[in-house]
Amino acid sequence: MGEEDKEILEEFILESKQNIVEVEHDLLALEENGADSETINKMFRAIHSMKGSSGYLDLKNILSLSHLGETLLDQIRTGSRPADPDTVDALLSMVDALSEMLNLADLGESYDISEAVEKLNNILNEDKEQEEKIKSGSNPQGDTAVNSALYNLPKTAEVITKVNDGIKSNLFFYLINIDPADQSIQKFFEDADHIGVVLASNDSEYLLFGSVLDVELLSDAVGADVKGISVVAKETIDAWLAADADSQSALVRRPVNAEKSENPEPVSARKNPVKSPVKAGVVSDEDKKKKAGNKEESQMIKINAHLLDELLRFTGNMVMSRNQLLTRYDFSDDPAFSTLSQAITEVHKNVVQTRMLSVSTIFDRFKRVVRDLSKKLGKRIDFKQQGGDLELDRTILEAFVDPLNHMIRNSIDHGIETTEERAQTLKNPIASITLKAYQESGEIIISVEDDGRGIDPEKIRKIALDRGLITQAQVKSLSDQDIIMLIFEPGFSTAQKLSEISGRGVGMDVVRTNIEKIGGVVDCSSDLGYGTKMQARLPLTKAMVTSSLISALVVSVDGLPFCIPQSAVNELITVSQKDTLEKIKVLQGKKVFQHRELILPILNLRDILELKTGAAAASDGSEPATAFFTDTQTLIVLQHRHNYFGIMVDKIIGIEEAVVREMPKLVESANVFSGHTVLGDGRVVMLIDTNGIVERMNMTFISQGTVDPVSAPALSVGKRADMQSMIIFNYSNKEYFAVPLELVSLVEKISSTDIKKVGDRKYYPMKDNTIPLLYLDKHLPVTPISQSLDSYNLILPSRVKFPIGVITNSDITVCDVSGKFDEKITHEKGIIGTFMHNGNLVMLLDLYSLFESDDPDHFDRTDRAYRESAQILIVEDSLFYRRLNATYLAAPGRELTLVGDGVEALAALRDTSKHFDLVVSDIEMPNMDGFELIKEIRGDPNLCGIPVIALTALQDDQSRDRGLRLGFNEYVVKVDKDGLNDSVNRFAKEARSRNSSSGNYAVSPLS
Amino acid sequence: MQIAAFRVDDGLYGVPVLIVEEFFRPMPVTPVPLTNPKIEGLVHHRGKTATVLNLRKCLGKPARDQRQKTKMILLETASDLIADAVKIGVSSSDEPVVLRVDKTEAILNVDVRQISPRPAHIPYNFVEGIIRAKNAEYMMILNIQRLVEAIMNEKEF
Repeated sequence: MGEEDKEILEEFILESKQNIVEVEHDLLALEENGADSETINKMFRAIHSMKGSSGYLDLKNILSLSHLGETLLDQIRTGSRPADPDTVDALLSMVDALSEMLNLADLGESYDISEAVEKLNNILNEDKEQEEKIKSGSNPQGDTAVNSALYNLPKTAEVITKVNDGIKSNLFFYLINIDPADQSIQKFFEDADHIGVVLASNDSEYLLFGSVLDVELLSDAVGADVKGISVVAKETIDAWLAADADSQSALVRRPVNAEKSENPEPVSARKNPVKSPVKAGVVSDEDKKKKAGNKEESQMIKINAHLLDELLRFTGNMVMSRNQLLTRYDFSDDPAFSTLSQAITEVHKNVVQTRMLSVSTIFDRFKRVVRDLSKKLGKRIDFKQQGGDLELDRTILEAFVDPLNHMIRNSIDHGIETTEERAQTLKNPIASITLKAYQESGEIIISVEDDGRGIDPEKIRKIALDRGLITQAQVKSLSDQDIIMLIFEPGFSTAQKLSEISGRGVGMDVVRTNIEKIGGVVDCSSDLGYGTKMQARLPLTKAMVTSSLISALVVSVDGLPFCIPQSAVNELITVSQKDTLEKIKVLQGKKVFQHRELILPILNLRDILELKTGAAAASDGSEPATAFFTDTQTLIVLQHRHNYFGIMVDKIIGIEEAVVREMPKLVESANVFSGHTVLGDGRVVMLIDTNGIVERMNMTFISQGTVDPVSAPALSVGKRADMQSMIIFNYSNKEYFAVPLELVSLVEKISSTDIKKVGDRKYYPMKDNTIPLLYLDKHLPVTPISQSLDSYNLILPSRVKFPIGVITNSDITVCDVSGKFDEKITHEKGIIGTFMHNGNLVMLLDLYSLFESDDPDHFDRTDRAYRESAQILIVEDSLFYRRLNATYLAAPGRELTLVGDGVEALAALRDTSKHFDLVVSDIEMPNMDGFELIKEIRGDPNLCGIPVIALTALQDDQSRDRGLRLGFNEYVVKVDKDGLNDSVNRFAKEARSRNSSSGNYAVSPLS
Repeated sequence: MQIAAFRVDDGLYGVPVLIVEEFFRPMPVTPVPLTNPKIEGLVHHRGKTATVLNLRKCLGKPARDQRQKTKMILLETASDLIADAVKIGVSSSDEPVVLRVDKTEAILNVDVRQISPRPAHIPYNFVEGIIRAKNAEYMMILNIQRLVEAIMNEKEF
């Protein structure tokens, strides 16, 4: 095979693979959403072009299969056949066969296509029989003409052998009508070895020609000089061979099994149209579409991946060099440089884009898997996708395909119950599988979630013990979560017998190996009876295209620079000598830092990296004598999953948009780095990997729950129900106010010179936006704050759409206060109540209503206007929250019932004299917590239909996933007033419309 | 075959000229913490990030005096070697490597047939062989691919 041919072949394989993927996708869409002419045309074009190319390349099996597929698609396209499930099935089996063939070395020439062919033929034939009946009255002229021409051909032994050979090699047969006078034409066919052979000729007027080309390609190849080309069906040829020379009986036999054979009209070359008018119309239409299609295709070109990688590397270098130049020279006066710089940025952005692929491209592939398996196993499954627009590096994304495939198969096979099993429970008979992709704290997370039977830890304990994966002692000591993770151990399979779909006992093990190979980790959580979630996490730096830009914090330790991805950095705190003494404590030789209400483990980057201080390195290498802290250092609060820890660095150098490259393999043993970049001064800097540090330092975080530094105290609410963390501050001298700590996202000391005044309002410019400031004396009858202070404290609320900063003086404390407080000594709007603290009267502020009066445009509207009336059961143990929620939800037409725990809630719900439209429940409660409560509700046929909103401070993924899995309709963060009202409105509305028809909670099963 | 010769401490060493991309004056090296001490760190040169090997450590020589002048040799990666080099069995590292040497010497023409195998008691398998250079001094010819592999396989350091 020549070089050129090889290239063409490669091109063909590439293009066909792409076409096949698209056709499969379109077929599934077709089945799901019904026929849409554009989709069908696209599929037709794809298969048609495969057919054409395979004919040219003499790939007979691909040719035959795509030919049949094309015929079928053409019928769907012209509307003569519905796209029913059987047809789609047949086409899908063609797609499968084609894609397998494309992966074979001989491109399927040795592949057994009979099954797919039979499926397609079955569909085509059943129809043809009907068609035949309709057409039997007519006797198209072409037919007779072709037949008589055929029967006029000499049938010598040589001809018969040739024809039989032709049949064996699946050639197409054509009768070609040529001008006997024109020797060149005849010669053309005789020499046309590359397209076919002349099998027989009749006085040079008709040629029986066998060719690998289909009719359109043949007429293209032949050119304008023939009078007509007619397709002769194989059956016609068979009949002709079988027929006695004198017998014309074969003439009435009709072809059964090929596209145009039932009507072998002459297909002429371009200048010589002898097409029937109807058919001509169709063809020209098709031509038009072909042109449109070509236009689309011309916008896409294929590029060698290596070339692209090189391009990426060089553009990365361009960006780095540009940055270096910028630090060395001043180009501010030179517009040419800024143009160049801009161009470099754009080129880089575009080149990076070429390597990116959206997650949906791989998610889409699983539609087919889910469809086929669910059909096969008789399980009804609703397949959902989320986060498909997330874009990752192609190669990385491809590496996710296999693990995801295993996870999904496992889910369908083991996780999801049969429809009958589901029907016996209160579950929706249609199971659901959700594929999700998202980015969180410097990681990419891709998960597969089902609402199936869940993993039984006891069963796994038993099997793991049987197989020697754990010891008898571990059976008891390992937590359920640890036990569940055993499914990723090599050789573990819970399937009672091996099944075809999964359960070869290697699946989950392979998942873990594959994910770890690309630098990620797998995780699994499950609730018996409610479902399972498996997820793969991958550091962002690994999932991104190499040489793409990431925003990094540049720090230095011992004069050495290091980068930390900004996505992992939560906060920077300058630590002075004084703070050190107050806030940094030593426990068991380890340092911890009191950060607001959270105790952070802190490490010195110098120790993590085992750097010797300059002095020590120069001397004998003994233990560095330096103190843990120098005068001023910066503590960087890093986020790892949902946990936080701090690392100390000497200095923050700045923030850089860095071109990140992988670490050379020679230095990979330092697993605390995820890559490197080059700074403006030309120095190489390593990018620190948070996960690597956690691993290296053997840090185990006890709580997997959210420990958001600001809302962390909320966790303590569970333990001491009536204690509440408050920020207590003093406004002017004697007046104290309090705000629940959870409502605060930031307390920052600001200098009075930074406060900007515009008209009556004051603003404070922060990093991202300008914050309007709220002075309490403008809204409450209190003494105005002194205007002459040098600095103030700014309290920034959390979870509001339009943050407004509350100004206080610098006297701020955080403490736990008991939930007992007097409601409304004062009836001022903006004050929830008062309590005594250290002998001072403290007023508990209602920040939301203060904001409403401060900025009615932004706040009032979201408030009173939309409040559905409803009967709401509020389940909450903390008095404080009960009151706060009541304040938030109170509205005319709403009836709120407040109870303290799950037991009381159930009693209220089961009390038939009462009716509730929806339940708002806390999670952490004594006696019966929210998880138990929801299990009870969903398990009670009389209650299972009632909407239940979880209201919680536990906003981490795991508890959210668990809550949703167990049947909560929605998860709302505790102090998110807007969020709560939105959900309540929505469910109240739904509940009302439902109740009006039935008035029972059990109207619909849990969905 | 042409050999680029250089000195490390008192020894004379060489690598095939075919794997040398460039000799250059030392530039600041960024040390990589927690790695093999035979690796000095990383440099970025001509758009490539290369790992700098401290040949003194690799060859068990005493650490050099900080003030002493050195040279750097950037090597071709295996994939960038010309076909002729591959044909005669020359190999290199898969990723860019820089050798830190004390001093570069002349380029020597050697007859491959005169290269003797590594003396049995020299413990470095990355020494390909030895040859007698001009002034009766022996030169060790290094196989960089093997040197790099040896460093990567060292788990304890």
